[in-house]
Order: sequence, then structure tokens, then C-alpha cells
Amino acid sequence: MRLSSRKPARWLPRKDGFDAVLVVGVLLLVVGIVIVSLSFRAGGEGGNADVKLVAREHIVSAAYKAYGNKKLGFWLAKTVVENKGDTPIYSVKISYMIEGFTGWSQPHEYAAVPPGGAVVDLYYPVLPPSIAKLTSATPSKIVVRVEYRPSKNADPVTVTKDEQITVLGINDIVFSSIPPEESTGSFQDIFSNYPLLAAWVTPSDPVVVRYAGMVAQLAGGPATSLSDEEAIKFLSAAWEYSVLNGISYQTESSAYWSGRFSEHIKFPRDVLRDRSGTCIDTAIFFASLAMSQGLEAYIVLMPGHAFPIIKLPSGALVPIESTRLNARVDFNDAVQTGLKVAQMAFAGPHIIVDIATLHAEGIVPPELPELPPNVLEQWGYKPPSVMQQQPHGGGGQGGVGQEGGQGGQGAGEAGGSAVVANTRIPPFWAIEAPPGWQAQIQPLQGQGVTGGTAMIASQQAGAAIIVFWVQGLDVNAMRRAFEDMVSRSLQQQGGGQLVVEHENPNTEFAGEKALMVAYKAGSSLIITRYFVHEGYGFVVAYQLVQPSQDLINSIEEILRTFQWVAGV
Amino acid sequence: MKPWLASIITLMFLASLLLATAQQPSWQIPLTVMEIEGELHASIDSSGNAVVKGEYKMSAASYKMFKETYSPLSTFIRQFNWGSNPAYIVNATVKADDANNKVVIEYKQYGAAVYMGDGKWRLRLIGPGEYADLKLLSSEDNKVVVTATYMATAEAKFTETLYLTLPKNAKNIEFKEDEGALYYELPLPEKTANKSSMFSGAILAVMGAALIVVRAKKREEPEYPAPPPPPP
Repeated sequence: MRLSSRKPARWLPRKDGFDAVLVVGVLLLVVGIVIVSLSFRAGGEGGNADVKLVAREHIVSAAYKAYGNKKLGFWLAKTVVENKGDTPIYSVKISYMIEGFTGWSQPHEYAAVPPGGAVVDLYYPVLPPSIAKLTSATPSKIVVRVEYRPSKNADPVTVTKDEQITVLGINDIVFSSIPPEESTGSFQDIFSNYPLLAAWVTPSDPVVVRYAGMVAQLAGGPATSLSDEEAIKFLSAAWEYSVLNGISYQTESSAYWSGRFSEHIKFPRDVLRDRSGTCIDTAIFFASLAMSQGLEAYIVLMPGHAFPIIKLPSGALVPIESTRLNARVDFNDAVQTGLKVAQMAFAGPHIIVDIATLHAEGIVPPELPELPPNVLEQWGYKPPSVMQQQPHGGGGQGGVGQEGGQGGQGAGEAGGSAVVANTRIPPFWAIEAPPGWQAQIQPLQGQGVTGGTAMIASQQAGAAIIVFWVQGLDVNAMRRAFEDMVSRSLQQQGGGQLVVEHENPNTEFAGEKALMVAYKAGSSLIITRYFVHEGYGFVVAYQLVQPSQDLINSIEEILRTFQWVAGV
Repeated sequence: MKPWLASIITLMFLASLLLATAQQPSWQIPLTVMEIEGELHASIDSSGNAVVKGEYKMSAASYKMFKETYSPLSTFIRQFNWGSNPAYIVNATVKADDANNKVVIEYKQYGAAVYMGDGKWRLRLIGPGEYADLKLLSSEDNKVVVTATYMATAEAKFTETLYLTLPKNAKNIEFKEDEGALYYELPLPEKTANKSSMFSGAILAVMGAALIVVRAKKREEPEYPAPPPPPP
């Protein structure tokens, strides 16, 4: 039995001998301390810059002005200089170039980058206006040059990196700037470049301004930014005028050379030239028209669709379903449909593009080529006629579906009492209208039909006079046709039914025996005269929104000036 | 219907247009703006890098809109990624707390503060292209509190409280509201230790110290003599 409580420390040397373990321990301690000290004093391995460059894949030419504005945040390239060494690097200078488009930029300078630290430098290129002349994609390269000193007194070291980039044509946009490997295909990812759409809204384009002027004539004056009423009148007229001029919605393949989600977008002048546009083209078109009158406009993006919302002076928002152009519906229908679409949009993923704000921030249209002042006329747009008819295409030979195209549509104001004369479509006639009344005359369009329609109206007076004539129809046929058409029109407008109030077959008009019929349509009164002259059935009718005896007397005075005249 | 008769329909429409009193109803579409409150805690090291943790609380409706907008949630975190974000951010994580309508984010940002020379540093509180209404709430020692209010989109309004902890020896801290930046003074770290050498030396020193301590304890232990044999 061992009596000692401890085992003998056999491995220990004798107490009175050389203690090797102790000596080893001391040596290790001293050497360790020396090494630790030297690791701090020696300064390590020195500064070591690791340069990384990432660049956007595309430059959207139409929005080239946006890239040079730092406040917008549309950086084109990002350079990170990370110091992976043990001492600072000094005098870091970073500059960029886009091959074929820019020279070297002024270098951005950083005093020093500490060990373990980094600087992040962004490139906001000031691009030349010539970039907006590109009509198709052009490959290029972004090059970054980084110069730095590995230590305070060392010679500068230069590192260069580059990345491929594509400069798009003027009408092209890639909706997302998120690299494919980082995009999940979500709605936000797909439309990350949405602010750039503001570059396509051109309220100051002379072509758009001129068109807006034509619309304003139809509306009875320009829209003001002070009155909801005037704004609605303008928007309604813009819609109607566009329908009459055959501007339509078209679908477009989204296939694109880049294989990314992208689209060819038209400027408003392109929509006018082509008389067509996709949903986003027509949204931009109506937004531009509204903004040309001082109204604010938004474009709403939703999966697979885009539509405009116009803000009235009071703050009310009016959505317009621009694809309803094809259905040739009225403005009310376009807005009602727009409301439904807007509700759908706001219930799911959507983006509201605030055009006015984006313009104010600097995302503005490019410089577009100058066009002749009469380019709209060259494209077949007729300004509203000013109390003279200017038919085109002969009498009724326009063919089905060309209504509203080039038949002298639109209305004009007479500066004073003037003669409205039909001297092109037989039989020829004329009438005197008071100042401020608008008029338009056009031939009928249809196969084998000769005739015409004319309207002379005044919103202020609350009255409209319609003259309608067709070769070969008698009084009864004209009455049936007119009542049928008016009933259909009232149904579409939700204006009630056409009710005969009174009729008199023994009246006279312009020297011809006439049937006079008075109708009620809701609160409106319609007075018609049916007669035949030189083989043409005629309807001369007037509609009063708020009928009164004085107004009836005034209109009858005008009708008494109706007379047959010689043609041109 | 005879095609040519369509002309009169158009005419009647135009007439009604011109005669309309324009007493159209005001179509109103309300734009819903979601309000989000956030609290961010950021620690800045002596190399200018920041470790950030943020928590964003919102109403149930706003949270629902947020989840719908960023579905899946990875679409939110991708905004911090290398190719998308103007900053250099790593290790970003986001957690959605459905029970509390809350989102928590964490990340490290390299180069958050930039050395300007002469011992001065600049820490930007808002990035390029961003606008915010900034207000300094407090500044004590190296701790600064700032609020930031901004519209992230037309429909999202953020109100954030930023709790910033600058490097320990940071001095002369100055908040410049017009620039959206903090300036402070701190000597540029001239060198860092060679880590491998430092650890190697430390290990050796510890081993040596351990040997010395153990040996010293052995020397101190007394040797007890064997007890006398028990009496017969």
C-alpha cells in the first residue's frame, strides 16, 4: 500500500540537477513575446489593393441625360478598391471611359484606404447627345483605371479593369438593370428601370404641342390647369380626336435581340406618325398631351399592361384605358374601363411612374430631330375646319372603316357671323351661323352612296344643328334612318329614349315641302325637318340641351338663312 | 346597319360632346401610402466599415403590401447585392416577423466611412440619388442618434432612427444636414499586426508560460516521509 498521497514524479529530474523543462518554458515564452512584438512593429506585408468592377449591361440612349445626374442614382459602373494588405494605401485615383463614346473621366481621388477598409466609387457618365442618334444596339466597353500608392512614398501602381456594355437604340429600353443571376423575375425586378420611361414623355415636342392645339380647337379652347371642367373637356376631345383620326392600339412582340425583357417604345410623335401604339406607347401619348396643357400625368405599370392616369386640377385622378381606342368608344367608356383596370392594378403588383417628378429630377427626353412645321398635315391630320368644309376622297368613296380619317374632321370657330357653305357635295347649300359656333362637313363614307353630313354647334348656346343628306332616299326612309341612328346613339350614351312629341307634314323648308317632327330625348329637344331636294333625301335637325322658346326662336332664325348655292 | 349611316352616330357623339356641360363626375382613385418605422443600429470600425442591424415595423396593411411587393423575400435582399446596390454590402440577411408585422435586416457595409485625409472621415447617411429629411437627435462621446424621413417610393414613407456608434476614439463629430453626412476625426490606422505571426508568437508564449507554471508548482510540492510501521 502506498502511503504517499501522490505518485512520485518520476519524470522530474532531480531537485539539485539542471531543470530542462523550466529552461524550455522560459525560452518559449521569450521567443513568443518577441514574435508578437515584431508582428506589430514590422508593418506587415504592406498595402494591397484588390480592385473589383461591376457595370450595367445596357445604356438606355433615350434617357442618356439621366446617367450624368448623380442625384438620380443611375450609376453605370461601380468600382470597389479594398485594401487587403496590412498598411494603408494612399492617393487612390479612379477614372472611367466608355469606348467609342467618351474620353477618360476626371479621376475621383481618395486620400487613403486603411487596411481592411474599402472605397466604393460610382461612375455617372456625362454622355454625348450623339448617343441619341443610335437606332440600334451598339456594343462597347466600360474601362476603369485605378492608380494608388502601396505606401506613402512608393511609386504609383495602376490597375485597369473593363466590362462589356451595350448602348441601346433611341426607341429601345431594357426594363431591368438587375443582372440576370440576381433577378428573380419578380415584377419589381422586371421593371427596375421604370423611371427611365419618363424620357419618352414629350409634352414640349413641337409635334405634340401642335396636335394638342388641334385638340384644343375641338374642345373649344385649351385646357387650363385651374379647372377640372376645362381639363375634362380637353381630355375628352383628345380621346375623340384620336379616335376620329384612327389612332389605334396595337400589340407588339416582346422578342428582343438581347433576350431580356425589353420593349421598343415609341415617342408620341411616332404614335402620331404611325397612328398606332402599344399600351405603353398610347399611355405615354396621352400623358404627353395632358402634360402639354399643364396637367400632371402618371403611367401605371402592371403585369402585362400599362395605362395613363391624369390628375385634374382638383386632385382627382382620371385613368384612361387607352387600348379602348380600337373599340372607338367614347371617352366616358375609356375612363370607366380605366377605373376597373386601375382597381385591378392597385390590388396587385404595380408601379406608378410619376412623370412630372421624374422630369423635375432630371429624367428628361432626348433631343429629337426637328420636323417640318406642317408634319401633321403631311401625315394626314387635318386641323379642325374653320367654318369651311374640305371633303376628301370624293363623295362616299372612302370605304368602310375610314371614318374620321381624312374627311375634314374636326371643328373650327368662326371669328364672327359667317357662312357655312357646302360647295363640294351635291346638292350645294349654305347657312349663316353666329359667331363662336363650330362647324364640320364631311362626305358620307360607304360603297355606292352619295351624300354628306354637317354639324354646326355651340356649347355656349347649348345647341347643335345637323344636316344630313343621302341620294335616292325619300322622306320616310330618311325619317326611319335618322330615328334609328339617334336611338342607337342615345342608348350608347345612356341618354334615354327618343319620343315623338309632335309632327307636322305640311311645313316648308328651303323651298321644299317638309315633314317637321319634334322629339324628346331625355331632357333634350330635337326638332327635325325631312324633305327631298334634287333626288336627295335631307334631314335638317337641331338639338337643344336646355330648350327654351328664345333658343328655339334663335335656331329657327339661323335655319331661315339656309339656301341652295352653286357648287365650286 | 348600313356602314355609311355610322357617320351620323359619330356626328351625334360629337354634338353631344360639344353640348356636354362637362359636369362629369370626379373619378377618384386614392393612392395608398404605407408608413414604415425603422430603427437601425450601426457600428463603425476604425477602417470605416459598418455592421448594421435594422428593424422595420409597419401596419398590418403595409406589411401585407410589403410581402406582396417582395415575394419571395429574396427579392428584397437582392437589393443589397453586389450588382444592384451602389454600396459594398456583404452577409445581408432579412427576416420577416409575420406575427409582429416586422422586418429585421442585418448586413456589413465596407467603406461606409471614407478617409478624407488629415485624420478626417466622412460617413454618408444617405446614398447617391436618395433624399431624406435628416435631424440630429443627440451626439454624446462616440454615439450619435439621427432620424431620417423619406419617400422610398410614391407609396412608401420611411421614418428611421439611426443609432450610430463611431470608433472609440472618434472626436470632433459634426453632423452636416445639407450633405446628409457625419464627419469625425480619427487617426488613420497605420498598420495592423501580421496576424499569423502574432498568433504564432502568442501560442509559443502561452506554451512557455504553461511549462513554467507547471514546473514551478511541482517544485513547491513537499515530499512526505513514509509513516513509521504500525506497532505489533
